[in-house]
Amino acid sequence: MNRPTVLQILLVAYAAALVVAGICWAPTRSSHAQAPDTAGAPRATMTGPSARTGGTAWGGAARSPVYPERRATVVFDHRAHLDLGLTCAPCHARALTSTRASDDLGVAVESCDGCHDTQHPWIATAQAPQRGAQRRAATCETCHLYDKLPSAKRSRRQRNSASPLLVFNHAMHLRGGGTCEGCHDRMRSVQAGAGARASLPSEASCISCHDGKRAADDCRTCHPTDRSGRLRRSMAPTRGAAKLVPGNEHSWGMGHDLNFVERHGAVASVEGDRCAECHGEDECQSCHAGATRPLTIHRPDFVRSHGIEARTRTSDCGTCHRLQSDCLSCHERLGVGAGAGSPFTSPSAGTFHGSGWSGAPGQPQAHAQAARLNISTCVSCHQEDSCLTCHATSQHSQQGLGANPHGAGYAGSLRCRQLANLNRRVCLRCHAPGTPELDCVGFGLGGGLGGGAPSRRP
Amino acid sequence: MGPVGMAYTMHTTARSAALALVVVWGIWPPAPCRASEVRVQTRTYGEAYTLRLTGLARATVPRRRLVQYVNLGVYDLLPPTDASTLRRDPEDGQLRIVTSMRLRHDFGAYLREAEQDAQRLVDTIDGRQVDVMYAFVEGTRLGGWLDARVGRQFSMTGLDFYAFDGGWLRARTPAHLGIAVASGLMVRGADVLGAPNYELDGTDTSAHRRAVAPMVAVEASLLDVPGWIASVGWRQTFETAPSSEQRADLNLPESSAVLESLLAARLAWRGPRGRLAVDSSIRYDFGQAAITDGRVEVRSRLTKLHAASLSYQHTTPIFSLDSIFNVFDLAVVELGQLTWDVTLGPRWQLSSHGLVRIFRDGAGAGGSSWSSPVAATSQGGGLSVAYRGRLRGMMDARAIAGEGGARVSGFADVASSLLWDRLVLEGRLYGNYVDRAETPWSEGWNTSLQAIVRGNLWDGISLSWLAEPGTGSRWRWSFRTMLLLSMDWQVRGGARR
Repeated sequence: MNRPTVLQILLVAYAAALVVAGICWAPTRSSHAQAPDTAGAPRATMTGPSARTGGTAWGGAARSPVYPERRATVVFDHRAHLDLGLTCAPCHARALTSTRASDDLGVAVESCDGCHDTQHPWIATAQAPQRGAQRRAATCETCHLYDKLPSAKRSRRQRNSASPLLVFNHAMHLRGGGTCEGCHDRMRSVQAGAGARASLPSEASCISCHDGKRAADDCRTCHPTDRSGRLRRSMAPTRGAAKLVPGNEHSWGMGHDLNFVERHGAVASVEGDRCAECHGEDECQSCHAGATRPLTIHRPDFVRSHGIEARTRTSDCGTCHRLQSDCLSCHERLGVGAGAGSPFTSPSAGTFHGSGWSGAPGQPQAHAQAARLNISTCVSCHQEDSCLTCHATSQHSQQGLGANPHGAGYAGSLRCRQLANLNRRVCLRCHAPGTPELDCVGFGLGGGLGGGAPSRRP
Repeated sequence: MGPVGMAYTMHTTARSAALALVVVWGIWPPAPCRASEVRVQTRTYGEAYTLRLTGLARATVPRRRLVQYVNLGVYDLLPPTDASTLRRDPEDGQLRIVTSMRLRHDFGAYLREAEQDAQRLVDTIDGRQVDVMYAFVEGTRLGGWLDARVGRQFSMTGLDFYAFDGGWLRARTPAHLGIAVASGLMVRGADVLGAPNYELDGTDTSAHRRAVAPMVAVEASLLDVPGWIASVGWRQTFETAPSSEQRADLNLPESSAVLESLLAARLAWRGPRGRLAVDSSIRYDFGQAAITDGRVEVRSRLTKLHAASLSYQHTTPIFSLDSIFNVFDLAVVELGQLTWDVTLGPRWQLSSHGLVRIFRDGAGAGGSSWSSPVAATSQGGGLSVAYRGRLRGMMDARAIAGEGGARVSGFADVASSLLWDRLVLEGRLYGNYVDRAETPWSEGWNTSLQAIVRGNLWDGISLSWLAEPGTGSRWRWSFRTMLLLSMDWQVRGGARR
């Protein structure tokens, strides 16, 4: 057994230290449980799955990535009050001057007393109600859900425990001509006694103005960011917490649908800046330059079946794996490459490539068509030297067989001249110095690939 | 010391100095930056499994990998211009430093006991064990018009995945036009703190390949025009002259060369309210004298319940111009794809797709084009249904036929979280059938059942255990098991005035 190296010892010690540190510190050091930072400039529009489907965290349904989970603490029938001709301002007076989404816009009991003057006598007399039976008097239960909330203290804590994960300035919107009903347009459907999502604006109502013309449509207009500049995507650090994910009709075609992992490259090719509003550099690299693979990217048994996928070219391995190092080294190490000791290079090698795969000039060359259609699979097992054995010219120091891999029309073509101008040494891998082919003339006319007779240089 | 050696020494010295500057700056920020935030993030992966070799020896190779990421970020280095606010308005400009380092090692036998050639290759990606993924200082809207990055940085545009050590500057002109220039040294796998993933593909990353590869790039882009995204850029990477010994090692007949020369452009339009999106991008390779990548995609949210996309893609493999794979007569692959997504209900989602793939033969000037004859085709489609609730599930079935053989596969996936998300149970049943006459060894069916138990031991710490028995016509029985330890922590600190 080999002795551990210093690096190995350091890594193990480091990992052990992390475990100890994590056990001691992790629960108290969690950085995710910060209050929403609403100090950033107003600027965004995305939505979470639950918002898309109209679900609600309020009342125990699906959780929202922007609205905190709350319980109603009073029975209040908005519809009945609106039918009486009441407006919003007398009760929600604090909304008129609110500049942050974290502001408490709940109704002060004094507002209720304006009409229900006999219901809160202790407010006027500064005498709190007695505990027990007196507290559970029918006059209180008319509005207060004491049976569901064991203590007034708890109800206060629940009411104020979290703020919406939004950037919102009520005062600014009202000054700009907005109205309460313009955003809170479903108040008549709010059920009495259930703090329902219907009382809160939907993203659709925001988008109706934030269309990029009347108001900014940048994500950060409405969704707060952390100090790295990324959007805060979740209110809680737990895995099950609802996350802000583009997924509805307002997602600029970037909806993270079921097949988004497969097609996100096309989106990122033009919308990289938009991706960067949520995703940091480390998230890209965890897959594209990752040392370990996420369990969800590849299907089960992929170690065995990935060769089939590579051969049918149903996925682009090169997106994450470098062919000439990542693929090749693993294949060689595991004995399935083209190196010595591989069963595929043994006398019974026909089990892999089959007969007629390659051979001396004039023999069937099935490998030519396979390489033309999908050279990536060749490159994952073979290095350039494998090709030079036959494709180098006989005058070259490699002593090749002169099989022309270029295809018809290569001589004199723009492609040949461009490559020769930019990188002449790639030409010199097969052609001897001083030969006319280096000036893109003098190639044989035969198509070396495709099983035809290879062109041999004179 | 010859010019090559001196250039290399200067190159490594400059890198070391830049990295040291970044680290020192991150640990000891300047005094005025009282509102900055320092964030340290560590991510640890431990992985243990055993591979059984298919070679004659049928030996086993245990893999015991430990990968450690350490990310350091210092944000909001510039204080707010308005003393009454906690954060500086982004429009006033801001500075940040971000770094990511990776340490990795395989404690199993993967790095040892390999054949000679295999050992050399394994060393190219796993032998060095320390990577600096990125480390740069970034300024945005400095003076209201300048964006800048200095250090190890990477660009990932979908067409490209490229990293370099150097600088990037972009000036924002009043005419909604941004002009960017970049210059530096391409990150290579053989660099002391390099990363093999970044190096242009097509050549090996053996340790002796230490020639310096400068790059230069320019780009013009449309900025802050609602609904429109457009840019066009050019990038060229050279390789300076390696020593004669290195040339001999690499079998390089000449001294210096261009490794890549690309022109890339993108154009996108976002319709009213974002319900229609059109993306297009194209890449022209001067070395190939051909368009090596072109894409057009139209996506639409037709209604609240329906979304569709139609795309066309045209690709040719590209490699470093140092590779002879470039001179082969390679086919162009065209891919047309239609997807249709339906929201079936509050928790149900359906996705379907159909595709046609056309392989066009090489012709004319040695490369393929849109008009070249069709060499082969393949076509297929698939259907997925997902349920997202307390119990999450997904069923997927897809089939493809044509070039590469016929293949039918599907899986059913179900997962649920228990104990306040502390325990996650996942199960997958997977089946696959392949009909490919050219390679009888790959024909047949196989199926496997995968079970994953993931325990969230602590905040950010999870331990996953995977067990996967399988069977099929090509092997009677197989079993895979894997243990994955993940620790993802983040510590923040900072001072506010």
